[in-house]
Amino acid sequence: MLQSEQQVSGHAKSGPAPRRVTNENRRRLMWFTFVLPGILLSGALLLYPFLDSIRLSFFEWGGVGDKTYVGTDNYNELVRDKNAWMAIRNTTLFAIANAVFTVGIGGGFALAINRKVHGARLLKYLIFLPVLLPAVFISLVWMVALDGNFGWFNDILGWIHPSLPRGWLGEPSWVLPSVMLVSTLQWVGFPMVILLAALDDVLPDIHEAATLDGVNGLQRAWHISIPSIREVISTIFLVQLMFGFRVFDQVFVMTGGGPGRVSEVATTFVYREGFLNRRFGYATSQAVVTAVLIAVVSMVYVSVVRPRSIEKA
Amino acid sequence: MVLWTMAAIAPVAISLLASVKPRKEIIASPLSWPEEFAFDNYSRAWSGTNLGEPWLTFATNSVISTTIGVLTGVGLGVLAGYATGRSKTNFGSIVNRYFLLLITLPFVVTWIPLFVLSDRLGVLSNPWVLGAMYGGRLVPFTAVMMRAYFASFPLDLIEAANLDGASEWTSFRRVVMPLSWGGVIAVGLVNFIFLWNELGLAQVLLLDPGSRTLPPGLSQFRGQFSVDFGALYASLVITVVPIIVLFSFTQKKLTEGLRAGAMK
Repeated sequence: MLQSEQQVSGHAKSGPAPRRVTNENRRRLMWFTFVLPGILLSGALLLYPFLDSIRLSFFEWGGVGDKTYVGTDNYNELVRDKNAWMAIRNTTLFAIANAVFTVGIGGGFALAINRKVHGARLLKYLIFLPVLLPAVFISLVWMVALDGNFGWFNDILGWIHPSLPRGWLGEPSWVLPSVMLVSTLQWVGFPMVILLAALDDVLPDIHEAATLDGVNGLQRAWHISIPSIREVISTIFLVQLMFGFRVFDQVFVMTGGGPGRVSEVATTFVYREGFLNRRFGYATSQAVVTAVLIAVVSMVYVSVVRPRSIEKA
Repeated sequence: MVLWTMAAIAPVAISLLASVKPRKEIIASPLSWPEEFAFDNYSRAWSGTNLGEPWLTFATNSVISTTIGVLTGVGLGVLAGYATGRSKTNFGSIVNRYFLLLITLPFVVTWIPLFVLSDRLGVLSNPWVLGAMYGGRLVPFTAVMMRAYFASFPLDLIEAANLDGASEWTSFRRVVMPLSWGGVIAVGLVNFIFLWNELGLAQVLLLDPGSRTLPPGLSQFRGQFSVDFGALYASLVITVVPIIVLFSFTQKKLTEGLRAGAMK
């Protein structure tokens, strides 16, 4: 009895079985067609170029004419190139600073705003606004502001103390921090908004109970609010870290990698070697290295941070 | 915190102020209220004497590339997100993982190959093509977002439609979409802002100044030695004010979209 039943449901030949099978198939086909264009377009624009970059990194090529196969020479050169190392170092520093400061300060603001202070909404709006503005805009205005001779930033600093003004973007030791400052100023609103939303979800009863027990605001923030949104914090930290690795606009506009390549980051290095020096192979090798670096960092981060939050849950 | 806000907002405020000051004043006292009003800054910015192209050219190119990018990217992304969300087999999660992986890819690695490809096809300096390329970039993010969004969609409505003989496509179009516009618009807005402000690929592909979008167009100010500050600020103001206005009106949707984004 059972055997024959099995046989019947296996073949699309008799009774109610065929309609069910065909519907399932039609549905699967439908999903497939829904998904295919998206997969293809994104693959063409992201996956294919990535693979092509890897391929190109094994050649020496100027964009026109012949490509010369050079094996791993580009990578060897990269290892010996001080500027390449500088770029990687700066990019990493930038990424870490970006994540730490935007999440740290943004989180602080989120905690402050969460307590429904007067004018909180206006502040939230104003702090978040720069996130939507072109980085080019922010960078240009600050570039002028930070100018050693004409900039108003130095004017203000001069009022506070005469020793403070300096040539921000022109001094090797201050260039990177200056760019970081500009970028942080712009982006702090993003983690802030995210964390605010997360804080909203924290049950108010816990806070009430704590207040009744005599716990003050600061302690509540440290012991209740922050741990409750731990996962969101770690996620947004990773997101900001990733954004930091990709920094381009600010550095490109404000310093172009200077002075003298001190503020070079991975993206500007690729741009310079590829489009100014016309060495596509060399440029893509750096791009590939950066991509791998980012992938490794993400994997390490996820394996270190995530398990802990899963434990908590 | 208030001090910080002031610093964050400074670029906007300063630009507004400075954009109506004559050059001498800008250099001498950038932070003060203007003594003379130099509205001709705006006419120079508008006609583009400093940037080589009228501002409108850059803006039009931005509109073209951003709109095409958002329409294709969000369009395909929503479809993909819906399918992966509804799929009951592993198919959905495999495809989703593909998209998640693509999201982590840094764009810088795509610049040179896309440049080479565009050069070969003769489509460099073409905002339309840039738009199509932008679309591809938006798909993964949109698909992942929409998948989560659709996950909470009431299935019974779809089932009902299907029982009445509607195909999956029809039920999607007539039942799901009308109710999902909120989510789609939120994601669409976030994507729009992102593309509008994009510099990397635009800088790489749009070599002909007349084809440039706003970010690379404006960035031309960076190398100039005798900068016409007045026109600079004026150009920046006309670029940024529309965004601010748009933000004021769509505030809720935007923050919603971003929230949903990072929560995932």
